[in-house]
Amino acid sequence: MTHINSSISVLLLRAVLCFSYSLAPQAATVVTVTTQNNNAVNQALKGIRNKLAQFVPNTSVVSIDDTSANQLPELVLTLGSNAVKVARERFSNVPILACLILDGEILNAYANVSGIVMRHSIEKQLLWHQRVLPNVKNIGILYSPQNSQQQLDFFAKAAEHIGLNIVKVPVNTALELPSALKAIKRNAESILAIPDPIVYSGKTAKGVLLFSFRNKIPLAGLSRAWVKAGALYALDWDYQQLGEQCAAEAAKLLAGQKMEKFKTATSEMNRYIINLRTAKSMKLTIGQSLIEGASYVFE
Amino acid sequence: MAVNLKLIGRSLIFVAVIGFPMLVQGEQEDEDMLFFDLPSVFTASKYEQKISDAPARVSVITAKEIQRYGYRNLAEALRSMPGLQSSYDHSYSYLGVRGLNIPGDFNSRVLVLVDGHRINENIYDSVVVDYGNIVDIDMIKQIEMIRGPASSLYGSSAFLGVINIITKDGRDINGIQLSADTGSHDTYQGRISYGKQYDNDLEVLLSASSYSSEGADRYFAEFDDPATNNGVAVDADGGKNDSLLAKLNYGGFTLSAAYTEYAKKIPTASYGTIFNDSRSLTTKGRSYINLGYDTLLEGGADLSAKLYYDEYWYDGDFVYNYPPVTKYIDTAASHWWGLEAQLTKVFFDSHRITTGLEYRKNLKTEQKVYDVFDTYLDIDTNEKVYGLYLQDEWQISEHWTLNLGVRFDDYSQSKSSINPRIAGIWQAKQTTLKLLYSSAFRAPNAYELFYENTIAQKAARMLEPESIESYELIWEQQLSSSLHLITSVYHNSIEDMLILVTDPDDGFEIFDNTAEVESEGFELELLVNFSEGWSGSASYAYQKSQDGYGANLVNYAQNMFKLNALSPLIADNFLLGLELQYEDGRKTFAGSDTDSQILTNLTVSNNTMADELTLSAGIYNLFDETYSQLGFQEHVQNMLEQNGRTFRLKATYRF
Repeated sequence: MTHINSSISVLLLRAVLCFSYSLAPQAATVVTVTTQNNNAVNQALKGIRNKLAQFVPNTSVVSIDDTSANQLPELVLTLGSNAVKVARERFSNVPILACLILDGEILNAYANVSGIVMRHSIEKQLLWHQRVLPNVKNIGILYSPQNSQQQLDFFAKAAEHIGLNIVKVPVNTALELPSALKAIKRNAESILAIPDPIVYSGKTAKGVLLFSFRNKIPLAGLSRAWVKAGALYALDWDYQQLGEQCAAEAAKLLAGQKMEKFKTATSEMNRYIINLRTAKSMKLTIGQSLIEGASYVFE
Repeated sequence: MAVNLKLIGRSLIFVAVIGFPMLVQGEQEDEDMLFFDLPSVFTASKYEQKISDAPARVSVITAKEIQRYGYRNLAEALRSMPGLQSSYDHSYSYLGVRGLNIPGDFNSRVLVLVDGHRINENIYDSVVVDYGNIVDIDMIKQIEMIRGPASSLYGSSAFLGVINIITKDGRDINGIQLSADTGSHDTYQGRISYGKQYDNDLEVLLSASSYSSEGADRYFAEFDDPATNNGVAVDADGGKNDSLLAKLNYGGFTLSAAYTEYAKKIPTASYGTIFNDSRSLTTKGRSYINLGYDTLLEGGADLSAKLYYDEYWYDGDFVYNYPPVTKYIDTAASHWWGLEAQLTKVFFDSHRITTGLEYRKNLKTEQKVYDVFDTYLDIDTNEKVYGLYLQDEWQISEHWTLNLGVRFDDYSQSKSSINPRIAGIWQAKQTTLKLLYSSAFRAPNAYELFYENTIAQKAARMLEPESIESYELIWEQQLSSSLHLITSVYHNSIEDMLILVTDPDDGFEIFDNTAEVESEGFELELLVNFSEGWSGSASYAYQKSQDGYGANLVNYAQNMFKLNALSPLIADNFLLGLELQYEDGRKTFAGSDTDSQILTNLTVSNNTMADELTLSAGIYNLFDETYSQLGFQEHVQNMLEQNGRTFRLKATYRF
């Protein structure tokens, strides 16, 4: 039934978009901007190309590298926050749709930029944490007050509703991390990572992962890369599906519809990744149903 | 000094030339935290975390490595590290660091900490590093070896290095664990441990261990005479040890306690005792109870404090034939208490300031020497110690860190000492360069100041601290995802070194600040972590140490090569741990050299990641290499032959 509803929705959307797009300029050009080359970006690009071709068949999608300096497209699609900056420098008067970004703040600086922010809901993160680690009551969250204070307050409230306690440990600079981790060891049974660039950067990642591993304090990581490196689990995204969501928004913009400043991306499926090797070394038991339901299991 | 300035100058040029091209890096973006390539904690990483950031050359041995290489005691584990060596005179094990392995030094120039608690006692500054170590090797989570002077943070005895032993927590045991092993020379060892982390945040660890060994019947050619059993010491090599460890964590509080007592017979007839008399033995004991508190204060300051009470006791029974046959007893007993407080806070986003104070007071420092005829020494001396330190870890830029530290120590029985450390650290993604200057001291201990026995040794009473200055350049390079290279070059100068000299006026021995030592060397270590499961390291160390007259010191090997390899799973869940250690001969007191040696140790164990039962079998000195280490001044023997091939079988079960 869900499948039928979903199919009907897609058909309706396509019908609406095709109708709307018939009012839009023909043979529109969409320029994509990326500043990184990894699997996630490539998957998202694939989703964008596939879906945009379905929604607005006569649109050409080209990379910024293949466009001339004076060529102005109808829309620019960026993947990643650095790509927004690159696009903004080149296309200051063209609508820009930012995809694969973690922080909506970057969009506020520019009038012609809107975007889709990747963010799992707080409730969803806590419920998954409870499902994977049912015995944990005190969840430690490392955060920088300047970036994530509001989010932490939401976490604390949401946790209280489901009988959990958030151990908030502020980290103002990376130099404070050793002391913060000591506080986590004293007061928390697990760490839930949130996308805060002061806490989780290339410089701090190893330290946090090794702390978790050596002190047997499981870490709910930020992505597949974190789980592969030793975090216990992470909620994941289907990057092709994210690209498709982007394409749908792009189609609306091309049809002349207005978009909110930023939207939160939705994940239609519960995708998560588990590291059983970490579970084993931390002497944690992961239920068979959780293992079977995981989108990927590291063993 | 000119040499040192030259070294620094060249090092800075080296840093600039090698470092500059790596300064230019692409801008990071937020989403990198999802996608960047992270090193796995399973394969990374003796060199991650503390090692790259530390203002020193640091090596780490993990619990997994202890288990898989089959290390039976702390000395065996430490011996696997580049630049470290050990000596064994069948009574004590002595650690040598970077070309310094001073005879008669009971490890007083290396500071040993257990979970940050000072283990060097307060009469001889000694630490037992073999079977009498205060922590059963199975209860160690990690051993960190910081090479070089570190008095700017740790005070006295952090002279050649600091060994920080981190013990397991309740969660590491998670239930009841039983362990039993047996080995060559009728050796038996058992352990029972209980550990748990409860839902109310209370974490408990309790562990008791016992060890006994009959030892070998040892032959010494120097005593090969029918009157001395043809040179064979029978039943004179045994040892026995009992130890306890307890830890209780709740919130920010940690209550920990440890106890050990180790008795070891002396088969070598040292100090002129009767050969082949099993009544000559030493008993060493050590215990402590420590209450610690850690908290993160409002505003991000990290406060830790501790209060402790420690005990040490020693009983040496030496059997002489005056005549008549008499037991000469040398005893020492001490207890002391102390407190420490440390505060760490980040200022101006880039200065991580650590400051602390330490106070220690000896309640009893008793040394007694007697036999049935007389008491030759019976004194109780007191001492108060306090130290203050300040350290700034200054993050100058993304790549540069400057680490500045200084500590002041005041000893009531000797002069005060101030010791700085300056470390410039440059880090890029794959490269770390460190240029270090540091100094350290060791205060004269109660034994060096006050021991006398009216027969051969008299008390010095006034001595100065000995000191060391060190310059070092370290280069750490991640060559690939599986290869990491660490090289270091260093120069150490020791002044006012405390040694026993003979007073020409009366022929008595007395401690004096007379020796000077210059040592230099370099170390090269390649750490390997292949994704197929092979891991290990290969290292080469060159070291040279000379006294003030330019003569090479005794008891160190100039060249050492070490190979350590751990296999992936082979043949139905079995794992191999292989060690190969080569070292040059060492100069003896007689001026000759011991033979060079190649030792091979092999341990086979089953896969133990979570299995309840762990089995292992180790063969030590696999090829039965015949080798000797030098005898010291108290021995008749110029060289002391070491064990040939030995074995150990071990089983551990977790309920």
